[in-house]
Amino acid sequence: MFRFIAERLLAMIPLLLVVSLLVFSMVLLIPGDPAYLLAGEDASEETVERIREELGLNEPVLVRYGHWLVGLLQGDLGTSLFSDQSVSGVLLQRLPVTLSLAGAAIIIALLIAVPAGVLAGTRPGSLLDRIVTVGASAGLAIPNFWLGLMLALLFAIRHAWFPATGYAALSEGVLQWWSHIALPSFTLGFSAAAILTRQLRGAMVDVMQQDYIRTAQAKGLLKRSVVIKHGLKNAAIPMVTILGVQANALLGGTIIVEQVFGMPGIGQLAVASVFTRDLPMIQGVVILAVFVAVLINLLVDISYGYFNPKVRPQ
Amino acid sequence: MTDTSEMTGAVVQASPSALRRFLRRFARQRLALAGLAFVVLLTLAALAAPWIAPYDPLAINLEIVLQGPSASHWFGTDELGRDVFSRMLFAARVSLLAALQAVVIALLIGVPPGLIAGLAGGYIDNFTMRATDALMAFPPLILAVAIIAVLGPSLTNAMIAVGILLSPTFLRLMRATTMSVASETYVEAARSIGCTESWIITRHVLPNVVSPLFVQISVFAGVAMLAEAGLSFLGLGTQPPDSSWGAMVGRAIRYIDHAPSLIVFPGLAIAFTVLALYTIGDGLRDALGREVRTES
Repeated sequence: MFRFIAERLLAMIPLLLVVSLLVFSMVLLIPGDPAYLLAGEDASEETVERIREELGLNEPVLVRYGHWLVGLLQGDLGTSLFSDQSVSGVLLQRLPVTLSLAGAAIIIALLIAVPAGVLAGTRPGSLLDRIVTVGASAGLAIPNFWLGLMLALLFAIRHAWFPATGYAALSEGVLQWWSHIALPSFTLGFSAAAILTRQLRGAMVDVMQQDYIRTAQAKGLLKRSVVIKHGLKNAAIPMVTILGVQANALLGGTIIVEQVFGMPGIGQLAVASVFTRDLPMIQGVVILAVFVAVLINLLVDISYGYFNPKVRPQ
Repeated sequence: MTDTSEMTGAVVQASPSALRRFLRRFARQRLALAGLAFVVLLTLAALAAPWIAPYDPLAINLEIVLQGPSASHWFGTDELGRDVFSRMLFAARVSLLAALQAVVIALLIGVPPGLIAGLAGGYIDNFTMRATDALMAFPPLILAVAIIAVLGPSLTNAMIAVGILLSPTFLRLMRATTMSVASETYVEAARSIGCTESWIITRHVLPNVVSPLFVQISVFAGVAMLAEAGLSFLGLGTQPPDSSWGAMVGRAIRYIDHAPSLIVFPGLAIAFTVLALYTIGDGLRDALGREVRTES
């Protein structure tokens, strides 16, 4: 197991290098002189020079990339052009918001998808199956910002059951935290729930027709244990792959959901930084997001071993 | 599976009778047909917007601001008293065109390298796959925002970003189908009788790899529409005075309590259009899937 994880970690290095190169070259890709562009139209010559200095634009490209990469490895992502704060400091301060939003969304997605997928997949063609299938299609097509606004309208504005905006850290109490995160995480998790449900339903229909299910039923196992131990565990293998992809999509989705619910997370920062042209901040956001996404996919790979002993390292 | 059956399985979409069979099979799927009808009607309505819109979408009337749906204004009026139904007809043009734009960009970026990688193999293939790995490591919307940060917020730039986002899937799909087609005996036969590579690609490979592409195009049109709506909602896509459905929702947030219909209707329009596009994709997949299954 340790070797498996070590190999996976090593395989991440070239990928992260390519990603870092792409993110670094954002400065190079800006049309025109980035320093002038970032400074704005009526900036003084000193400001432009300061930005040029800050971005290291006076040095050769490779040297700049080297400096940037060394800084990155030490957790130094530069300074915000907008607020003069350290990028990594701001990101670290906002990361818990985004992670708890995305984490809660994944849990909600699974809490919806596993029962719905199993119930529908073990009764193909039934009324319940059709309801689940239609619901899943709707979940794929409804824009998440719209779902969020509708939920906020119903449950925060018309009925003040939840706060409409803001965020409370876990340290302020679990209930406080949950009341702020319930609507956003449901909004974010809904489309993932739809995709996982469709996937799991299909896989359950296939698996339940296998011979080993008939054997398990024939030897008199309880229906529940046939479905869960023999059915679900096998049907879950493709779902784990989808979960990795969905976790990635959820991280992106936080950009929109944080905006809808006014949550001070990374996503909101990303949008604000586009408007303030805070390039170092955006680069930091992207690097951090890719890093988290790659870590999640590593966890997904490791969890394969649990569901599918065939890929378990010897 | 013998070589001959594989051959018929792969060329089947290119022959006219197979195409007719495919169309008949597609026509039997009521949901997919309903989806197609919806998209066609919507496109016609969007094209005819200047003639069929009941009001000028820009006509301001401050005496009737933020009204709910009524007989004279079906979807109500916005904060400047403009007719929401007429505005949505015009916004449909922007939303549909944007989705089309993104899919075309994704095809242009994804298809040629996918074809080349599938045919060339070796280190070219390896390099292309690593490049798509790197692109796919980015959480999708984050990558879009990063690209927009570089290019500047505008609808075209947002759609370039979405196109880049969608291209790796097209690339991988093309690569996989090209690889399987390229190993068919009829390609080998063409090569052995001395056909040029470009002849083989245009006459033998391309016609046989496009059908799975259509399923993906239809689904991705829906994905692109959702992405455009999300980015325009954030203010990173469609810029005023233009308006798309997503941008309409974004601008109506302030009035959510007084005039929720400003948000409800554009959102429903997005959801139904995306659902229709997905249903078409499902129908195409089923119609194609059975074709391949019965033939091979």
